[in-house]
Amino acid sequence: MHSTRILQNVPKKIKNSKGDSNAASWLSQYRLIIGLEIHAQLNASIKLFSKSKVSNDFSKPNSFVSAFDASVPGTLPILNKEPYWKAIKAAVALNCTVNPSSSFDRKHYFYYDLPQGYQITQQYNPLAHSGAVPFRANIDDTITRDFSVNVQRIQLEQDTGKAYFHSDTATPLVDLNRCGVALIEIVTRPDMQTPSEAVAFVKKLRSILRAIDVCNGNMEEGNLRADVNVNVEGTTDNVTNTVTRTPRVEIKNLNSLKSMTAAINYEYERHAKAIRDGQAHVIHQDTLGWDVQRSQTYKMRSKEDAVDYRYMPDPNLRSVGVTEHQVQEVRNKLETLPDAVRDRLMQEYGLNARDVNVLLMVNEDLSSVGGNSNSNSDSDIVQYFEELARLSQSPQLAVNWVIHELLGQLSQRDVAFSRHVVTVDRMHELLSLIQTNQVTSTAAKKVLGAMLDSDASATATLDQLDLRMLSQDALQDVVQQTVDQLQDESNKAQQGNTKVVRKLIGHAMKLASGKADGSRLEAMLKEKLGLL
Amino acid sequence: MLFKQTPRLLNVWTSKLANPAVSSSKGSLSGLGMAVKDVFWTKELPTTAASKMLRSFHPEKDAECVSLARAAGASLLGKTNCDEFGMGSSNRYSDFGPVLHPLSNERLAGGSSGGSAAAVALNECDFALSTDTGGSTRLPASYCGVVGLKPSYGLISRYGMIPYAESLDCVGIMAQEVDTAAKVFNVLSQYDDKDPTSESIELRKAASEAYRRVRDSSDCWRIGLPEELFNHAPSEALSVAIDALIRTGASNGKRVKLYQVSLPSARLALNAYYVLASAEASSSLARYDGMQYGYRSESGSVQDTREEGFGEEVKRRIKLGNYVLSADAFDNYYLNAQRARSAITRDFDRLFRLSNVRSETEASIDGVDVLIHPTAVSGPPLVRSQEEGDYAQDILTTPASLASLPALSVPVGRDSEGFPQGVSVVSQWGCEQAVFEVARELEMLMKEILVA
Repeated sequence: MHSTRILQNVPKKIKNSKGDSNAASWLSQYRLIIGLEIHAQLNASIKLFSKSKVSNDFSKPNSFVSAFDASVPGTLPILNKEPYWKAIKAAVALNCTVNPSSSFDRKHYFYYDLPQGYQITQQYNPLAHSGAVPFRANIDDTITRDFSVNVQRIQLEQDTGKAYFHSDTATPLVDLNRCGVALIEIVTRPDMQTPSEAVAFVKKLRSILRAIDVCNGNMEEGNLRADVNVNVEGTTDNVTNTVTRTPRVEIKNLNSLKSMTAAINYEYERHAKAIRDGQAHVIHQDTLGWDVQRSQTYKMRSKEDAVDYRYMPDPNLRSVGVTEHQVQEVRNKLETLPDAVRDRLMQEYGLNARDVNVLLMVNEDLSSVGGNSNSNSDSDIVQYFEELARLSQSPQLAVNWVIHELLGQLSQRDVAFSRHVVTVDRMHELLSLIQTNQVTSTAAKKVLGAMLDSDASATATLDQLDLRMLSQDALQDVVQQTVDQLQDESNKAQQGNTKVVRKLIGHAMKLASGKADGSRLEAMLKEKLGLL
Repeated sequence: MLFKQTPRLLNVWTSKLANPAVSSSKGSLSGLGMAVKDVFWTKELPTTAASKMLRSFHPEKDAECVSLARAAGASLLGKTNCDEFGMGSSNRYSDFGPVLHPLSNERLAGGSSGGSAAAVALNECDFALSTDTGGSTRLPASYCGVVGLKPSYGLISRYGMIPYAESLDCVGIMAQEVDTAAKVFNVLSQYDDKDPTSESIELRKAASEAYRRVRDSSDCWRIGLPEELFNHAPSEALSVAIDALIRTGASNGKRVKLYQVSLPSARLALNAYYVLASAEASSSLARYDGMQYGYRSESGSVQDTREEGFGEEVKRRIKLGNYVLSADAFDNYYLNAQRARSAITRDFDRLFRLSNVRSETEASIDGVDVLIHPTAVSGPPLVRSQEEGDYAQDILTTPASLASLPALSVPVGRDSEGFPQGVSVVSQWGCEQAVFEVARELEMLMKEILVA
């Protein structure tokens, strides 16, 4: 499972730039305004208010349900510390101001997957507010400006259960394993202007939450879900400079970045067209869904028939206080965030943005699969790279061999990276052999392949495969043999036929069987033929 | 015994154990038979909340208060009838039918804990567990002539109690004598980490120490009569008792001083109570959808289930609650009611010379120790009556509920029609002992008056 994810994710690039660049030129004069509401399921071991453990996606339905989760009357909520502190940690990592006191409210509606008839959330006095996530231009191809996404609020709340509908049954099947699991809802300001920026925010948020071990961040498994708020602004009268802004629509429950991008682009065009055609009034403040099959949004409900959630402070739960000192302690203990790792990799090792992105992406994938980033330093590829770079004194050589050769060969073998597949010391020995011209790059790849299948050292493997670079004497023998075996060609070459020289070099390389550096062999051959 | 056993069916019990287990515990409640309002979990008997919705609800455990009482030696006798989910002041609205008054076929026992009050009055148990959200223990206690305690909010665990309005719901205690109620209270008043509103051991200690300091340093009882709660002239019996108290002083030798005091915000209490209690009821009863447990309609739809499963009064309060929580009404109703609630708490705090350890307000030096007022504005409710009039019965009991204060109704003679009536003793949060001491004095005086 691990390696399939890597195979999927390393080469995968969200094709979001396509939507932007292919957009018709008329569209570019309309300003797109995007805000996000992200639900992130906390990876705490226990639910928010009950004693139930948190199940994984593959657990038997209704096997992680306490009487409280099933809303048995007479049970009462007790706030668990673990999810609470995970939420505080997320707030700190997103540069939020943590409220000295937050409180819980009930949001009422009836649905099969909500046994209490309400969700406990934080409407009036949330956990944290006023955060910011900064972005720099050119961190990858899709981000073209410096900007910041401001976090309006973070609230701690309960997740719902799941209701499954089958065509052959009138009533749904309800699974309460997820019911009561802790979520944080992160509400941003409308600070994003392209789908790429929205995608970049979700990815960055995900990498932060994974790095601090707060959320596993897998959208497909539903532990990170995004609602998108979109509207569009455009000048409708160039003489009077009248600006029209469409009402904001909310697109619910987007469960992949691809859907998110497509849905935003779909609405962008719909709103912009409406403004262009003087029909802005046809856009209503609706709640929309995304139809993946038909690649279009559909109306779930309008503002008029919006649900009145009848929010009410939860009479069972008191405010929860946190001191500035406690927040500071959380801040002090916070793991290094991805941005800091990025800066270090670029500044200390002089790596380019592309290589850094690959390292960070692979690292995040590996830690999220492992579930717990702290206990998984074995699969910490950044740490592996840094050790290798220090030993080899050549960060660029190290990153090339880690990203291209090591990861490349591992993914061909369907094996996940771990520092145990090739220890840093063995890898360093291999790089030393390259650096000291004892093996060619081409041969070194074969050596690496063999090393993955054994515990032998690089030198031993090199000798076992008989791939050591030929000595000066051996090379002279190769040159002599070439000239002896291809006498006609040698003569022609000496007479100035340049074409035939290539054939001679090819022959020599074959005789050297990969154990010679091509340019060096060429030089020696030419010298022998008196062509230099 | 106050009443003779009558063959007349009063509808006191919803279920009874054929052979109640006798506890082997030698605790302070050893040998006492206990009736439990049918809103508390019991292992052996169903817990119906007197609702069709929960007719077949069988909890796996005892409620915390039931479990503590049993551990102290009490034996469970059965479950008592009540208003559906505790909503009512007359015990008119029960899926099992109303609870009749022990003295009259024309009257009701009062609610919502009517079954518990009648069981105590009929001596069918030694004490009863009840609930009190806005007067549900004190009112039936008053009507049936028994002692009824609504403790300070947060002292007795609500774990295993079917909720009605969770910021107001309290476990109540009923008995024939103040001493029995006090003994049961001392067993049940324990911090419980299963109840998020259970107050800490430190806070309990702080309150009782504050009371002890005042008691030990003063040579008199200071009793306040809040004029807003005396708009109905006190009964002759109460006047006699109070006169006697002033004349002879307390049995412990303390002088008794009486003050007329004012609780101006009390006039807001009834309205604020019905807004808040209904709002919370609409929320805490949202869980009954027929999905996980309880009644489910033939059609299986949530709407039909709730339409068929709830009684009329419950549905009325849910509708009212949904309205006051709706976006348009929330500020005007719910928030204003919360403001009134705060004002009422502040008013009470100003009257006592005991400090409120929860709000950390300063005690007023010339304040009183307890307040005394009639528990009910009338005798037991009539079986045939204007149902709307029922809400007004809570007018004297809701202020203490909203302020989370301890209040105990103790019988003081009979009214002009011969029905029992009670007087409420109210004190500062956590000062149950003050309530018990004053109530005991009144109890003794009433006995002397009866003998005389």
